[in-house]
Amino acid sequence: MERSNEASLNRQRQRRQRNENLENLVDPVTRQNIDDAIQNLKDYQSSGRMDSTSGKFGSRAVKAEIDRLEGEKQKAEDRLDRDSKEDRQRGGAGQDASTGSRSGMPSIDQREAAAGLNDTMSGRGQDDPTMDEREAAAGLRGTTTGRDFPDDTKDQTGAEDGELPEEQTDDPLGTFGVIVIINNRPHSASVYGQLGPKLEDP
Amino acid sequence: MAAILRAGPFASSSYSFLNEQDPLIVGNFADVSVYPVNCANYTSSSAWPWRYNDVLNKTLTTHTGCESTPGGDSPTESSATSNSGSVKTATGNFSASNSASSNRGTTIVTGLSFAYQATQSFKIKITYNGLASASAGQTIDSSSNILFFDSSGSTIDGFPSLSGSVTRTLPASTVPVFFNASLSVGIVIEFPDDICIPNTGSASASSSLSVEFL
Repeated sequence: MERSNEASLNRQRQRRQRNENLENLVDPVTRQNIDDAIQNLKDYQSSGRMDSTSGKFGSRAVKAEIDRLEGEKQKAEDRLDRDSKEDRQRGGAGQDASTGSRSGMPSIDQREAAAGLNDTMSGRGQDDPTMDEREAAAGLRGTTTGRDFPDDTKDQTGAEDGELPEEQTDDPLGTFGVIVIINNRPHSASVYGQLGPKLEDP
Repeated sequence: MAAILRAGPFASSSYSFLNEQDPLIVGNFADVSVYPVNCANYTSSSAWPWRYNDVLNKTLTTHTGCESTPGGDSPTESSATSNSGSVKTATGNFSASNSASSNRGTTIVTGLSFAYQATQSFKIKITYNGLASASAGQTIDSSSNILFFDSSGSTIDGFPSLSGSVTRTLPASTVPVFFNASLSVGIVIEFPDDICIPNTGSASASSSLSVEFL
């Protein structure tokens, strides 16, 4: 019975440790917490500030970056699962996972290094980075440009007359700025949607 | 939370998204039909300045003498009408004042107008002051009159002076709504005894309109 309880505690400890490791995954490219980076990119996707599908900050690039980060996360998760399984097979699950050396098991630092996790303590206790800092860390710059949607979109796309820009057939949605009245006061706002053809003056 | 998409910057009764008309007045006074669209009574925005039409219609009739044709014994006169107007920016309450005179008849119509969109109704107070006068020894014709009228459809008249104020509640509207207030001051003096000598007297008119946001 006592052994069963101890095993249960060990499993719980392992799960906690695994979750903590997953939360502290750092992207080896940007050196940013992977979960934070994914969340930032998803926030950016849903913020309506993207005005193009192409380009460095377009929806495609952002989606690709999210896919890459999620891939990195999945790989690390697989490595952790594999290490955990090997650990159990070696019967070393009963010890403090953070010290690890009494039975010759690798320490947490060693396991993280083996799983490709580096500097998992960085960022703890620091002030939350600003949105600009997060965007810069994710390789996103100039994300506010293009909010004032130009009258003539042709100049942006470089398309010839009669030729639809490629992105219009793929994802024609974009963001443009407007002014709205709320409580009898003017407010700036952005509309996420499709800009139609230019209307002629009556 | 109600939000209204901005229309304008100018609007007419038919179109809510017009550019500024240049010139403001085409043809006669009644053709002023394009109004700057404002955000309710909020005059503090540099991004969306509060603007209005300031318009003046002036008609001056001059006694020039008498008919020179043999047998003619009628006085002669000439009349000139001018229209002017511009779009002005208000940073709070605003007003307009005009005056004119001639030796026969003077009519000035001062108009202030604008369009707006609003999520809630708001109130304005319009104050009007009109004065008509003739120089000493002149007889004022009975056709002279001072008249205030605005978009509410009501009119207020009097003579030789008219002063007062009205308060209007402008209703909320998602599309541009127009408001216009005008004060017409008209005075005519009779011809002198010697109709062949242009009258040396004068008929003067002055008017002022002011709009106050309550």
